[in-house]
Amino acid sequence: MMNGQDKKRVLVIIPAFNEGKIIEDVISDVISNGYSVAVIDDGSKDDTFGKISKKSIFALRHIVNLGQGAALQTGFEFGLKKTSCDYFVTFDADGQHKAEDIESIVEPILKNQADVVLGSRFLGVDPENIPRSRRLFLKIATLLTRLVSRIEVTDTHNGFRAFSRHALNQIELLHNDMSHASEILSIIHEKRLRFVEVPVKIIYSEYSLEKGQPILNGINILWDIFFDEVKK
Amino acid sequence: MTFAQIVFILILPFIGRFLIKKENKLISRVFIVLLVIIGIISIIQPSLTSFIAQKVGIGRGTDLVLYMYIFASLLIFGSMRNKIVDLNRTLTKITREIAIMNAKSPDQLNIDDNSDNQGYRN
Repeated sequence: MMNGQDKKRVLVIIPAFNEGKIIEDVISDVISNGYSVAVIDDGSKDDTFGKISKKSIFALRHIVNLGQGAALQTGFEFGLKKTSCDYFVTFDADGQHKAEDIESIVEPILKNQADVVLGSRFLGVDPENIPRSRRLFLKIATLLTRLVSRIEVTDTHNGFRAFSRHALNQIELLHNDMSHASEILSIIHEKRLRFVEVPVKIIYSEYSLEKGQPILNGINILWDIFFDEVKK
Repeated sequence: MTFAQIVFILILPFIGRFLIKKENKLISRVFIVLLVIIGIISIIQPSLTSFIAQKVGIGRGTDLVLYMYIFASLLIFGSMRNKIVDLNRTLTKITREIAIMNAKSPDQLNIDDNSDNQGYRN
């Protein structure tokens, strides 16, 4: 069990783009579990920044929209330079992750068993209401990413991850868009960071499905994975 | 000389002048000037391109021009792409720096904010 002091040393980084409807609930859930929070508003057009500014958290704002990868990298740099936190968790803003799972995702790092922990929705716990098409797509994306980044994982596009300070210091995301997921895996492989996967529960609510990556976005990700490999 | 030839010969130097910018490197300026000269020569003497094409084994002069055009386009496309990637990296850095500089910490509550989402608190 983590005590309150330990939890304060965990910075939960939440990139948010046009999540004004739900962001307050997501933040409240994380804060009530005792963690430090940094939300990066990625140039939202709605009142996301107004909402996060009212919360007792670190609130950052990109003045223009750059993409989720860029927002995460901003959170990483902020966390490393401006906070004394030792553990960093990336968390989705659309309410599909559960704050109770943060403890289990940080645990392997606390016990010094890993530098990076990746949440997986295909490891034990069955996701709630996952549409069949999405499951198939995720499986294919996982298979391809595994081939390219040469790293054995069961779920490559899960936004729920934990990093030690040591690991985060070695990560610099250059892809501003959604392909940061495969970029992180490549970095783990390159820098030989120790990683484990832990099962996390994903809640596919109507809201998160609406906001989730449409198939077109998926095609973009696949394109990036291949194009990136050609560039190397 | 036909009317079209005269028009093109007159226009080409202006296009060249338009393409040359102060910040261009000497090599690209020379390249543009050379292109204009080659252009004028091949307008005056179209058979010349056919002659060169046959010498290098391409066949028709128009094919030679086409190949050169494709080659130049790819070159321009590549350098533009690199420039855009660089610009994007710069933009990201600036945006990130501003975000970190203006970050609001947990003890600075933004209570009087009328959610105009423009208001930073330092």
